[in-house]
Amino acid sequence: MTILKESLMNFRKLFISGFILLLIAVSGSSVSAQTKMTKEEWQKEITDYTAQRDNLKKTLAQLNKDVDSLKALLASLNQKVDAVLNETKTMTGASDELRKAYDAQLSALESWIDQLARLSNQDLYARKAEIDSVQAKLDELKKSKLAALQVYHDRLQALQQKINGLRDALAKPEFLASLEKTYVVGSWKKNRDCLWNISKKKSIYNNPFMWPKIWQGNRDQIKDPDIIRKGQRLKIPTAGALTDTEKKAERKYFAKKHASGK
Amino acid sequence: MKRALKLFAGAAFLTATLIVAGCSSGPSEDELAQLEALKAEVASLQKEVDAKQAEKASLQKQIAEKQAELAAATKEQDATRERLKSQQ
Repeated sequence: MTILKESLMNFRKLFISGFILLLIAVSGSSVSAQTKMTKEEWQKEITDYTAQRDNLKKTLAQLNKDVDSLKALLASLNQKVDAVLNETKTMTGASDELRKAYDAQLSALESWIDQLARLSNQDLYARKAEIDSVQAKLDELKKSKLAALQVYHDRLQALQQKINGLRDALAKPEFLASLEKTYVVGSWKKNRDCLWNISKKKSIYNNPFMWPKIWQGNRDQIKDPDIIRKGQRLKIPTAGALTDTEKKAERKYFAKKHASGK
Repeated sequence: MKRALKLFAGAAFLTATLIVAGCSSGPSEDELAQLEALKAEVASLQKEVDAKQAEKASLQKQIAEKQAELAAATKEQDATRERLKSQQ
């Protein structure tokens, strides 16, 4: 009897454990089943996506239309721009060859003036006549019909501005001052310094006949060109032919000397 | 023994209820495939629309640039005409 009771108890325990396991398994499968889509949900999604597709198709059709008309507009604008450019080009009546030649001449002037602009003050002063040559050639180019074209007009204007800039620079007192050399007079005994000999020096004019230039350039400190003192700092004007004033002063000096019988 | 039977009957009832609740009617495989195809079609159309919108924006930009170019070319032509007149 006791054995039967014990076996019944064991069966009961076993049954309860099995039941709990079954319950857990069934509730798990029930939860997974709940994550699956229902027919109603499927129908709703189908409806939503169908509406989206239809809208997108409409939008795409409209966009295709827009793109086509924009392409047509762009093509027509391209044609108009080309027409205007060609018409402008033919207004001057110049052939492509003429344009090329004109362009080359203008480029040559541009590099010439750029070269002058890069020179030192001394070199620029020595080559200042070239600025007038560039100006003369530029004036010739300005007379051409091609000068009316914007591209050449702008370049000609820029070139003129560079020429004007160089001319303005040359006219400034500080430019001239930067060219001025000075010479400190030595003694007659040791250096044999007089205006004639100073002018003869290679580092000065390399030409004794230029002495009136030094005299006239230093009128504030030289009254008599035969008298200069040791230690005097003389300004050496820029080299070049004697000016009329300098020639006149020279003549006056020799006349006076002749008159005094020296 | 009686109690065990009662328990067993209760468990069977509960299991049956849960199974019935879990296996309510859903879409068939064909219907699910139909939904997936529709989703793919929408995604593809969206891509096409995006590409077209980008193309449209690019064309609009090009047109604005060309219009500015045309205005400049016309202005240049007028200025050239004036300069030619003043040369004569």
